[in-house]
Amino acid sequence: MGKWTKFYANGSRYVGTDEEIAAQKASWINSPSQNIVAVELEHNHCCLKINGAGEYWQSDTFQLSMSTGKQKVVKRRIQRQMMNGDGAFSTDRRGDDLTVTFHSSYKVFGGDTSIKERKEMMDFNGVWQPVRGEWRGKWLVLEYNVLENRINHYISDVKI
Amino acid sequence: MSVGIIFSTTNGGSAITDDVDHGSGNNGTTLGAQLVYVRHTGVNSITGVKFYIAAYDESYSGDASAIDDLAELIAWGDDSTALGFGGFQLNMNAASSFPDANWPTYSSKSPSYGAVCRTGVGDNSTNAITLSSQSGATSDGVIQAGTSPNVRFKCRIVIPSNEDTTGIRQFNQYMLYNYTS
Repeated sequence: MGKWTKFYANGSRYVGTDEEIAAQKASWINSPSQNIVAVELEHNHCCLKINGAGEYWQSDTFQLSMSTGKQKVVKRRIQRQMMNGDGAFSTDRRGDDLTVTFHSSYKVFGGDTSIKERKEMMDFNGVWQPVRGEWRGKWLVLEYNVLENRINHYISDVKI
Repeated sequence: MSVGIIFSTTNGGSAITDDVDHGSGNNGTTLGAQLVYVRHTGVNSITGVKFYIAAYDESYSGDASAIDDLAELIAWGDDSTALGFGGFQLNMNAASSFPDANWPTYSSKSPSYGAVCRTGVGDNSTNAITLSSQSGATSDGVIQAGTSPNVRFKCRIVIPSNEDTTGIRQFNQYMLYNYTS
């Protein structure tokens, strides 16, 4: 089981655990969505986090057997829309944890001022990557595939 | 976390609690289409609604094996001949009362608002078939909240004319959906 957390600019946070959501005592949609500076998702041993003020979304994918009515969660995700003010992002992958941090400006890394334009969406060695122009308006998605126990990352044209 | 999904035979009706029995017939038979309504108990819409078939994963009581039954069903849908075509088929054009034109054929396997499950289409979660807005959904793949949203589709089994093996087949149909609390 798991939970997601919204972190706000004033230091407060809103937590939605699976139990509270099931009991309709917590809700992503009905909780404040302004002034979010970070979002975190935890499920089992996996922790996904995105840092950077902006617009966020959270959703889960479920699989239902029409024969038995049995359901299970198959994917859990958090996502942030990339904006005009986003200059670059960095990634930090440690075991089952993945954190992506957005910044408004490029960062000089190791004295090398050249910016590497990459066709791949992300690089997991911690190098700062510029937010490409064509990505703005699209959504950065961090996703945990529960069935396959695998973390995915991708850019989506639409909010999922 | 998840929401309750309810399948019924009428809009807002009692939930279907047993396996859907598509019936039996000789080779070359199109079994009666099953009308299925779907709704959910979430307070918000569910999105990304898709369908696919998979091997039966409960207590198997067919005459071959769950894996073989699925492979056969997929092969029926793959066949591009009049004698060999069949399989599990969907017609999602509820808005026009499920016209014949929206059922797949061996020469038109993905008509508008319809499909036959086959290799690469509805044969696993990656290739799942999106619920059409013609089913009564708010938009493709989106089912609104409510006790009687009137979202429905028809499904049927077509037995190929050249099928020569009798016996009971079983398979599972899965639905995928996304939800935000």
